[in-house]
Amino acid sequence: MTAAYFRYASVPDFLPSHVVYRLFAGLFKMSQVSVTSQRLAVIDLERRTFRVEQLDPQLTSRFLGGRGLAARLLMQYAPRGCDPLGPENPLIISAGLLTGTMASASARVNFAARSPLTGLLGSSNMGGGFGPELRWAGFEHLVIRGRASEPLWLYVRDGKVEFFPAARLWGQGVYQTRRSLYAEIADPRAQVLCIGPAGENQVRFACIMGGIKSAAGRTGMGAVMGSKNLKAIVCRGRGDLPIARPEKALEYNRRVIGQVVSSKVSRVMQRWGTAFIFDVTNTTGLVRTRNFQYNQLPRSEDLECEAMEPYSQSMAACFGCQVHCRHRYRLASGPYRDFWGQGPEYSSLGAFGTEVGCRSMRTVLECNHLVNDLGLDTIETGSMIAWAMELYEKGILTRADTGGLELGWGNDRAVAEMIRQIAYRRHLGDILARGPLPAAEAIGKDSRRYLIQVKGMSSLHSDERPTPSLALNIAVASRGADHLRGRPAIDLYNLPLDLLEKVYRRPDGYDGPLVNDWTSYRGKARMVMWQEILYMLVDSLGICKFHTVFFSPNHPAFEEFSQLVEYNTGLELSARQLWTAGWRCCVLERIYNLDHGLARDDDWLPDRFFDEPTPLGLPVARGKCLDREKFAAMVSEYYRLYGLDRDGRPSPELLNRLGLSGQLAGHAAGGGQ
Amino acid sequence: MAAAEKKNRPDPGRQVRVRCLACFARFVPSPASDRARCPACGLWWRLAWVGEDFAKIRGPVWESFPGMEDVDI
Repeated sequence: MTAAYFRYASVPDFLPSHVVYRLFAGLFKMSQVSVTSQRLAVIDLERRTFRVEQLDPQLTSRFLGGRGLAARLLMQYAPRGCDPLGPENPLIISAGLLTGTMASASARVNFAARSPLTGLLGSSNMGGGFGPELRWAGFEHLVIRGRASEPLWLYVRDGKVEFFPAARLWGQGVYQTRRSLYAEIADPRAQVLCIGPAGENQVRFACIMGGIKSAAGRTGMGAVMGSKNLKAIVCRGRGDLPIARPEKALEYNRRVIGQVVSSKVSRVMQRWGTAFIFDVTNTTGLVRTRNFQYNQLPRSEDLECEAMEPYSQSMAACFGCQVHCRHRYRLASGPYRDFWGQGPEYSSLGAFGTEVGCRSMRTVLECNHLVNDLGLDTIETGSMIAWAMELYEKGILTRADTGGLELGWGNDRAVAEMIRQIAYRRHLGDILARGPLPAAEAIGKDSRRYLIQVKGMSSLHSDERPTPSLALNIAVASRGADHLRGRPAIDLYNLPLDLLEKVYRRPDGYDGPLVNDWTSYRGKARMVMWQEILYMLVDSLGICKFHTVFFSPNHPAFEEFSQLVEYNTGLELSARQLWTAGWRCCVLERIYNLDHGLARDDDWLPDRFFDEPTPLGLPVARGKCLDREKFAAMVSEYYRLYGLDRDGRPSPELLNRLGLSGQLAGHAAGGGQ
Repeated sequence: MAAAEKKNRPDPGRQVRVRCLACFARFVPSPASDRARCPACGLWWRLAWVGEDFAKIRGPVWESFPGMEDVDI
């Protein structure tokens, strides 16, 4: 039998979803095929050649796709200990197993390499439209190797990869690069990935932009791309994706959409985007302010999500998503008045608001434009500037270091100028561009004490001192301090215990403690592990986290994804098997990090989390800091639940159970394929 | 209309309740009001309306927020 083929992008916007579903359900007849074969293009930038490989189908059931399979490919193609900015470090771009299918919000694509920021796993996940387009162009994965002798851009279309000179694009910002490329290819449906000046200048936290906002932001993937002299990748596909059981896929996805859009949190996001989180966290006292000196910015009404309304023109979404969580906005004046912007995300409100002591939405929007145009990671940029501001306040840095800039709290112009300094590596910006740990080493004078980082990567502007579960999440996350790898955000809701148990006991029948008090240390290791495996799963499937248990306990999880995988790909994996696959991929990422020097001490937080109580916030969050002993016990419990030893290394039994024996130590000692 | 779209439609007959961020008590604000006081803990809140059937807390009324007397940042 033949599979049906689905091309969601060709559905006219004016058709309501239920009409679209009926239309497709009527057109497609049920078929029974397994669609799990994945294609890989290995691209050699030096020789300007590519070869196509068909991946072993076994890899699909074991590592799925996207982030999980990217970690597996990184082990295969990256020589252990390679220079992150050297030609031997591959840049791996991986669409999720469900990316571009009938599954809702299946837009995601993952980027992997050895991180130039941390020296550990580099991994970043992006929405937008590139992932689906990559699959329509005939590839699930690109492995980009070597370094071009001169700037290039790649055109990936319909099973081929072409190489074009990019000298005239080099130096252009992201916005102009996109305009230039779209003018050249004259195809508005193509998708463009590119780097800005920050990537070209190998700022260690440069990102890859997949639109005016969609970004592979974390761990410096833009610097890896810049180190390869690769300015952009344009993708256009005219192929279709086979869908194993299209009728069931349509009907089931309709149910999933209902589950997602009927939640309160989705209704709020449809109006205000992720900025809605700020209202709750700032009120409670869970927001890093002035680097880490306060946990709340009082009287900051202009940073609340409602303050976006004068600027917002409409809401936009990634491919195949019904939530539409991004504002489209345009500023009436200033250097970006001719450009549409999207966002700001919650992270921008901290990066260019509370962390640096600014209270203006206009500042946030301008800086949002700046980092997107220059190609910088919002979170890392804001954190580095906030850190520099605290050093300036304490006299560790002076105007002589900043190029004459008055780096005082709330100085909006200084923040914008420092963003440019970082991207173009001028004055203090050149030091900050190296990332937290090298920058602290360069500045010296006790400056490291004021860094808010884990494993060499800065944290979101959330303040985790009052919330042990969230603190554990950033301490153990595989790519450094990161909320998107395992944050049990619903822990903050004080949910009824029976609901909490319904979520966190499945699908493996966990019978240990769970506690619905977010100030408690008990049972939180399970929550973090569960969320890590779930997020690994959605990152590997190519589904957005807002369509799973992130902000709502009622959103889809393992059981629903099991159905979506089966109906879209024909791969029959139970919820329990998906759990194991996610677990396997999480352990694989840990193995990569262990191979690059990770130790138990790295799964830990800076001293300030333990020594400086929160000064502000509601009574429940005020006067709080973490307890070292209890926190260490929580880390140990997390290791135990995973099957790791007391040093955080996987036991032989665990490696056997997950089929990962032989992976640890020397994964590519031969130098990679 | 899809079940999801039905669920997401405003329901004017539904009683609007918000949850106090300090004590987690649920209370009913006056329709379309931009401020409300939690009857359980007495804190004043600023409100935002997602729709006529759905309100959320926007933030505190800072002048009445506890412990703000000496804060100058």
